[in-house]
Amino acid sequence: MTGETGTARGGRSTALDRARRAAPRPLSVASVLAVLAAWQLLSLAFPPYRFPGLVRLAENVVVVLTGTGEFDPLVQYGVTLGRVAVGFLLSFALAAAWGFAMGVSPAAEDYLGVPLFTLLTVPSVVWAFLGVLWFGLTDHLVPVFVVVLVVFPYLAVNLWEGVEAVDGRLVEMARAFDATTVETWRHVYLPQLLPTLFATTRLGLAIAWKLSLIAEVFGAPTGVGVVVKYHFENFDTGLVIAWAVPVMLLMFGVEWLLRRAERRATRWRPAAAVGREVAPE
Amino acid sequence: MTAGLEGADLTVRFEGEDGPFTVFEGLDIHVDPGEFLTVMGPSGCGKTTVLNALAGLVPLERGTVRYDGEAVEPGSFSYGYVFQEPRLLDWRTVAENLAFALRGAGVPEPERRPRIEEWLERVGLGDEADSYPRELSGGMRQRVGVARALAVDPEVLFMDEPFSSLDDVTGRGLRRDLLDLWAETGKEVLFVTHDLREAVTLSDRVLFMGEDGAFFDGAEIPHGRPRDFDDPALGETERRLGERFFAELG
Repeated sequence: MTGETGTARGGRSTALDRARRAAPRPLSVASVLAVLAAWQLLSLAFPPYRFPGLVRLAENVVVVLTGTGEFDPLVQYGVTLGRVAVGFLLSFALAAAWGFAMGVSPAAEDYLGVPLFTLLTVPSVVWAFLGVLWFGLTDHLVPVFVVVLVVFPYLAVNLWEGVEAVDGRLVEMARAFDATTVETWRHVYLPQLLPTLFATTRLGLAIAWKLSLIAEVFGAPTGVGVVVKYHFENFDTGLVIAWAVPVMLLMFGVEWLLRRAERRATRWRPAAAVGREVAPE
Repeated sequence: MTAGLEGADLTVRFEGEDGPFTVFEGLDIHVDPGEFLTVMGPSGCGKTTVLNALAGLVPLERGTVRYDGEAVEPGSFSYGYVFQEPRLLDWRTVAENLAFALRGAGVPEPERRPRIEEWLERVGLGDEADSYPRELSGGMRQRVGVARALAVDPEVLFMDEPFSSLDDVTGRGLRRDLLDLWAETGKEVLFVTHDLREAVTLSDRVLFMGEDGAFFDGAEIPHGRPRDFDDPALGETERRLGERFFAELG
């Protein structure tokens, strides 16, 4: 009986929490409105070809999305997002191997640490030029090359620090109870790494998207970077911005989804889940 | 040939900031079958490392471990370990925490559930199988730690100051229950504490370890069982040993 009421109470409160979380928060709404208003005011001080107002910008976005401009949005966004996805996945895989190795083995930390920090210092433009010098103007190779070499070191450092932060006392406990390596990763490492994995994914996607455009400007025949460069050369400020807006919104949505997924995956943390939601009441 | 758990010539050195650091060297220790032996000493003297060396959790530079007369790899005999902190997986339920240990011990799947229920019942947590550790009090979490260690049905139970972070009332209840479980199961217990009262109350025998990582004294605790924690005779033994022990430590 107590079990039943317990479940019902639990179910109701999570539904309530979910509703509360899904509703936009007043301060967030206010900040979006403030930015839009400031944009509109600023635009009045400049000619539209320099700094388009909201209406002009919205028209430009419609032109971009309906494909009534010079470029087909499906082709350009498709090719760029494909490079972002491939670059991100390769970066994440490489970073996971690199960072986890450094996190669990002091020898690997010594051996792999210096190259990693060296890679972190290379400016992305240098990789972009090197990519073009080495591979020429390629369809996908240069953008993916630049994304991987710039993004993976950041992710590797994140993941390495995540593994280092895993509670060694629990790893010792797992050894004391003869847990296999697989069991130890599944029940001890991974649950503690989840917040790091989510944070690393968000960071990786965000940088990969920015890097991909830069690389396209330098070394690709197609993609949003090329389109933005074309509109830049024609002094078409509105279209330069308008081409970026849909992907910005997409990234925003992905970020939001990832945060929700993270909260769902770390439900076991009563302190985090309950304390934060209930305290303001 | 002696039965029980025996460590001879145990030597552990750690790599410190300024060169190797010797925790203990040439240490001998022996737990008789069914004995409750306590290692008592000041903080940082290396008593936890004695447990960890026997359990195979820190490497031995030198020394041999025997179980029932046979030379064995450290930690290769069956043992359960109760740590100073509960060391539970906060993201798994109480039952899953026990299942984690049972899988490690190679207990077949169908036997796990009944064993988990039995041990949770025995430590007084029969209703908490599906709770998460963070929903429990400190004392209850430590009870889960005790249940986890005993559920693997070990030959030896290592306990590293398991009750030191609990309040007096909670600690007292757990000590009572531990003695009952020990009396039922007859395991060898190797217990570590810095609390003389606790050592006297629980043990058959106490070894005193100094700052230098050597045993400088030891004593049988001559009181019969079951013991009444408030028996003035225990207090008298504690006082007598305290004088000997603390005089040596200075």
